[in-house]
Amino acid sequence: MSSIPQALVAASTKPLILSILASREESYGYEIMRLVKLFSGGHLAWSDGMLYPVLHRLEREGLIAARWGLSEAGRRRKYYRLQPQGAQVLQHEKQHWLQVHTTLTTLWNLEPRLT
Amino acid sequence: MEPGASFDLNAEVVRWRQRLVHHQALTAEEIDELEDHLWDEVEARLGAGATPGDAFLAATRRLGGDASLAAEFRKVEVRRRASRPRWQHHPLVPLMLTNYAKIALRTLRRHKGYAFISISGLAAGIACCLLILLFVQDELRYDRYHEKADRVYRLVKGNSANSPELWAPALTVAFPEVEHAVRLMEGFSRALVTYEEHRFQEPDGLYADAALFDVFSWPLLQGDPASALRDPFSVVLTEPMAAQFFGDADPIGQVLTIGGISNDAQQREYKVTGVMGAVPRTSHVRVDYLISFATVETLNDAGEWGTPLSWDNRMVKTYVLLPENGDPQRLEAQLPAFLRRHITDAQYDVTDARLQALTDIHLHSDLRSEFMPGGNITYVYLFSALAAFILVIACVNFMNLATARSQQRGREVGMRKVLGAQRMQLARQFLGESILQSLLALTMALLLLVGLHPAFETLTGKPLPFDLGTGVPVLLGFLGLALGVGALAGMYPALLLSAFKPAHVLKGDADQGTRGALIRQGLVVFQFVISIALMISTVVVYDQLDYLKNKDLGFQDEQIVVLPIGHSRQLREKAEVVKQELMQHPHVVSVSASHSIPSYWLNGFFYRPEGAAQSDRISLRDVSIDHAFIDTYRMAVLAGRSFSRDLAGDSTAFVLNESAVRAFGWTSADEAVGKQIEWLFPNVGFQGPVIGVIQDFHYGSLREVIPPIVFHISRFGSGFISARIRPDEARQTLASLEQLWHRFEPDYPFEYFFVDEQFAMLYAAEERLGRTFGYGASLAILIACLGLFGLAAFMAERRKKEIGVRKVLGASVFGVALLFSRDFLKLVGVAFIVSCPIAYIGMDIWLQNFAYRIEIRPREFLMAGLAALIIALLTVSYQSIRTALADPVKSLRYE
Repeated sequence: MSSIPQALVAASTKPLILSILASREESYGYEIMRLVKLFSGGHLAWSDGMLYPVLHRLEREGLIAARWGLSEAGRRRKYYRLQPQGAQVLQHEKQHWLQVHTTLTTLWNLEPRLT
Repeated sequence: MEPGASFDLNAEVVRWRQRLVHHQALTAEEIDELEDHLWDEVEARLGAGATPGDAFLAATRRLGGDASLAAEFRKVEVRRRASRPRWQHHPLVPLMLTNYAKIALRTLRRHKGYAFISISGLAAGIACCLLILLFVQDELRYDRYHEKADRVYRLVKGNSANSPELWAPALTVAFPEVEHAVRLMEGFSRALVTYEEHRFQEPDGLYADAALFDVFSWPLLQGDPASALRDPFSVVLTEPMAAQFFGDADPIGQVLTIGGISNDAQQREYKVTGVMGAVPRTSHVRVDYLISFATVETLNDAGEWGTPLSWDNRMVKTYVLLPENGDPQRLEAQLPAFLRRHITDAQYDVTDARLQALTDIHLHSDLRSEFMPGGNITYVYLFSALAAFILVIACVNFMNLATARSQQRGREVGMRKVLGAQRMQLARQFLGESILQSLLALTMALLLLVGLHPAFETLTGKPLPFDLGTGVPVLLGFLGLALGVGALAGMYPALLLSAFKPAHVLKGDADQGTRGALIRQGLVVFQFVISIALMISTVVVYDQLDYLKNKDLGFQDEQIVVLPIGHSRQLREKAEVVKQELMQHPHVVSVSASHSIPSYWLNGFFYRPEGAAQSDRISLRDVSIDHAFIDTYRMAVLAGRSFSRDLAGDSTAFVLNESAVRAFGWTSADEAVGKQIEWLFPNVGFQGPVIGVIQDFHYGSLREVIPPIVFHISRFGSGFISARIRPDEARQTLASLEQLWHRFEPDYPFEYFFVDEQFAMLYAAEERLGRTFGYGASLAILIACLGLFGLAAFMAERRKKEIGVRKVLGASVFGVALLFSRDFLKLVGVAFIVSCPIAYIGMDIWLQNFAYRIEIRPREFLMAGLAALIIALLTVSYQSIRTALADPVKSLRYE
């Protein structure tokens, strides 16, 4: 199977990040990336550099909060956590994506009947 | 070989990190985060069995190179910052304005020195110009506040502002076009005014006709304008005076006692019938209170008025109100016939009565018997010219520096043109920059204005109120001025620069200098012409002032103390006793009482020599003195003798000055002695011999020719007591004079002055002119030097390489400095030559104001020229020495 087009990847970045942060107390860049790869079965592959600017933007928009902590190896690591506003935005995103999903599924289920 | 052994992972990560830091696209925190990510990735790969080298390479590749990382970050940034691409201009902001603004500010920042010189020069020029305009505006404003100012005329006769008392009432009857004719008469000068326990000496009380408030716009705050001055013994107070006496209480109907009047020595009671606003300072007359003219008429009818009201004795000022579009000339033409009908004396000259516009009184009139000394239109012109000159110099300076500096922006202009800039666009850009700077200068000028205002008020000797809140038009005017100056100053560089041929400029072979250089030199010369002319004028004014103050007056004016006793009845009546007491004082040399004294006014009377026809009379200045006067003032007796107390006949004798001898047509002083002359003055005049002739002396200002003067023993009482005192212990002498004064006059404070100081005060206007010109010249030369300094700096920059080559080829420091200075000094020299005739002509015109004046000598020109040269040399020398000392290695390094 070919990889998912760039535009779709870009569009889904925000809900993906917010969803991952919603599923746990806090996380960091590398982990988020690994989880996305894991859950998408390897089909959603982000370029590593792209993630951080997006995280920073979400932080500026107040959807997520960040703190500096230490990794298990003792390195400085930046952890992100979902904010109430982010949860709200995620709620909207979810509806939008489900609507798209429903529409597409419906259309694809109709198709056999048309033929 | 173990591949990991030769690969230092830590060092590689540090190096990777440094690359990112060097790229400057990311913050330290962002790099920290990325580094953590990199380590996670590397560790994951190491865990999967990769070598450190491979793991690092794969991890960094996944993250992307430094440039692509930066790009990723920027993608997000840009989207956040601007909704439109940055190359599109905002719909509300004119095309490229932000770029122009950026370049303008950058230019200012990069050339702080030039910017400071040109902006502060212009600011100083504008501030000074505004200050002078403030003064000029104030002078031009006199008496214009009256609503009917353009319809009011003053009736004057000959060279006096006064007219006889009986003209005004008859005028209204005889001429229907005269809506009102009102009289003002000085009656109360510093009279004592009493109300209950309040006693104040009030400076100016005037008699005024009832219709006054119909003619002058002096608003009546309380009372009825139609009737306030109708009844005898009515007084209208100005608001400050009313507050002084009555505080918050209602003054109307209260009774004041006013006394100490020159013609009417009695103290009398006056009823307050009105309160008027304070008379504006910009009036030709000062008023503290007005008393109804009906008072004078009532006293006159009762025979209690000193000199009866008459048709020919000039005591009052008469003002007539003409209708809209009334013709003063027509009325003037009818005056002689009108006067002839009423004045029986065929000798009386009826032809020299004329009407003078109210608004001309302050500046365009030079008459005797004014309420107070007026201004002089010549000085208004001179000051306006000074303001214009300084503004022009400042503008020229601004322009000059702008053009000089613009040469360095040829490349920018070339680039802009290549990129498609239109000529108009470029002109607008440079005009805009220039206007921005002039607006900065205006702001600075306003600050300067506020700072210098108090000093300027002291200089001009009058309060010049200004407050920016009162006038939007004033503010707009200031703004317009700044915009105009900015546009004017920016015009030349704007047009010059926009005409650059881009190909030439960018190739670097264009000769940018020569075209502007000639104009710039012309402008520098122009600046120095004005500056040097002002300096010469200042020197001439001060020389003339020096001459005025130090010229031998023909008598000894030092060490004479004068006590003005005119307004004190007590002192006037006991003048003889006071004199006797003064004579006893060990430090008093001699004492004299007289009706007038040198530096004060002179009466004019008609005289007739013995044997002449009845009609053959001449007008002489007349001073009533006592026997000791001529000795006290140490006037030189040329022939005959002075008055003697021992000869009874001297009370009807005369002493003449040389001018009077000539006026009678006698050829020598000796011839005059013994001649009989007659003083033609009803009731008082007499006939008597000329007993002596004294040398001509200056009775008043040196502006005027010495008039023919005749002395006789006083018939009128005395206005002044003059005492010549010994120079030592003057202070104790004054203290005992004060005691003496208070013994005779407890009500009035002690007053005295020295005659020489009084003479010096006659030249206050000249003194002010000299000082103002001095300041103006200093400012002009300062601004011109600022310009010169900027220009020298610019030239030094341009000629750096030339001078480097010269030095390499063996030129000395002195030689280079000389070479460099010479060019500028040549300009100053040319300016000096041009300014000489200008200053000469200007000063010659000014000196015509004086009957006695200095010759304009080469000394004045040389002094000013030398000063200008030295100042210019000092200004340029900093640059020339710096240039000469510069190391040629540095300036030629890139050749």
